[in-house]
Amino acid sequence: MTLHHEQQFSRADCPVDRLEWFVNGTLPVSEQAAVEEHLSWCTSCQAEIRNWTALRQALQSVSAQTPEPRADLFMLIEQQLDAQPAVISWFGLPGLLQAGWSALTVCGEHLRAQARLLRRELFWMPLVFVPLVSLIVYLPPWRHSPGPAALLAALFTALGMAFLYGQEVDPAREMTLVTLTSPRLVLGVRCCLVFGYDLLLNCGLVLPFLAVQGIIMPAWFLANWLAPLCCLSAIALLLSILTNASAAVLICLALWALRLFGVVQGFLIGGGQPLPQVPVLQQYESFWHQGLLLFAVAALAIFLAFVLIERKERFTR
Amino acid sequence: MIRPEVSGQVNGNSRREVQQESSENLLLARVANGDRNALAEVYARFQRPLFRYLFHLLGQKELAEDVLQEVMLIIWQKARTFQCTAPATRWIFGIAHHQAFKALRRDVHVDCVELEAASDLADEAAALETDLLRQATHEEIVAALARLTPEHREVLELAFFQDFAGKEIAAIVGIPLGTVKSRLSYARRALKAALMQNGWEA
Repeated sequence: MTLHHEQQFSRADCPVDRLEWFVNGTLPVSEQAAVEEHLSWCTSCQAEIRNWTALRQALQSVSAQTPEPRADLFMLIEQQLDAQPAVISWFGLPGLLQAGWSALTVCGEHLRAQARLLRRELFWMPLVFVPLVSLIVYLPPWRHSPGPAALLAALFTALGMAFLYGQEVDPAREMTLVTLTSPRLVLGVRCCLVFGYDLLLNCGLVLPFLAVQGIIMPAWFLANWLAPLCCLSAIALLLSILTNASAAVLICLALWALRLFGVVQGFLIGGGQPLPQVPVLQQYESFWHQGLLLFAVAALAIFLAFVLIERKERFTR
Repeated sequence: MIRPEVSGQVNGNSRREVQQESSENLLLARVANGDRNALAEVYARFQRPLFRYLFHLLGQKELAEDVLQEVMLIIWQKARTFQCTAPATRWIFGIAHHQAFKALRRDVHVDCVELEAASDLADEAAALETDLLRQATHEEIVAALARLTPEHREVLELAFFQDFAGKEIAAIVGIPLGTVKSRLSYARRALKAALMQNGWEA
């Protein structure tokens, strides 16, 4: 280690761990005197002191040649202090309104920025498909039964979510990675944008339209239309982050194909007559009708997606 | 007998340091009451040592200026929480340490001297260390410093730019005193390794 350890006759009472503090002048007076006394005869400590002193001098000369910070730095600091809202004004209605307005402005900016970066298809496709799908209830085979329409609406929304964020689908991702914007924030804003938009289409366009006709009730809509839609979309998002968009699409299609398996089989073999159901498939189908459980699964998947994205992107960086 | 130039100052300085400390503590108390002039005075007193610390730790002037701004804003906001029992300098440098490492994690990437490389250095070089340091030009030392890990560079700076005591460094960085000592001796070896490597590469 230091010169001391090389000495064959190493002295246990040498103040090796105090020499640097002796050199920078921070030893208490009593210890200082003891070290000075020791230095008067110990040659190896003298050499050590020479080394520490040379180091200190070298560093002091570096320190002395530090450039000055910009002259107007304190002015900038004062400007920032002025820009900060005073704590007191946050109480009371005007303060709250101001805070709410500034929060809204920030949200608005983020939403606008991400809306520009997102693929256009994510907006116009649901606008065409979701209303189109809801018209299925008027086709002869499914007259007034909204099940297939719910199935398809969920699938289309989920496919949209699979293309929300990812290496191969997002040209702006690279840009995001080099800035300080957190990937979580980007993902969150995009989720709000696209999923909010899809939700609005489903709840605002389809529900009133079908409810007025008496085909579906809001409670049914919530449990059998919205819940599977949220769950499958969240799964698609999680998978697209874990792997990639195409894997997410494939798995979503497989999940939905499994639900349709019994129906299609019955249609082909039994000529429209339902076949005796396989118990596993029955259980699987009943899972997709348990509204609360589906929302819970969706919440879990979203949570995982937000946890994992930070790790994944940090790794990429 | 060897007597480093600085050691003579200590006793004479200690009373003045205590006075200075208490005046700095009073200054922070005024900042806590929202006195902008007091903040300006804190800035005038600390901008130079803080900027030296930040500039050499972060290696970029603009970044050091940004972090210095952040430090001053935090002093303004948190002066209320300052416990007058501790020295103001330690508290302020503690904030600077915290902000600097936040900035380092955020956006500074450098190649550092591997500690293994530093420990590989034969100890026989120890006798040459003084010569090595005395002969190295200012630029060489700056380049060698830049190749240390921020943690090592930081203890060197705190110990020899600012002449902080071991206990104070421990409080600023938030590590035990024993770690400060071992880190400092590792840093010294790593600096030597970096100086020698630079020499060979040149």
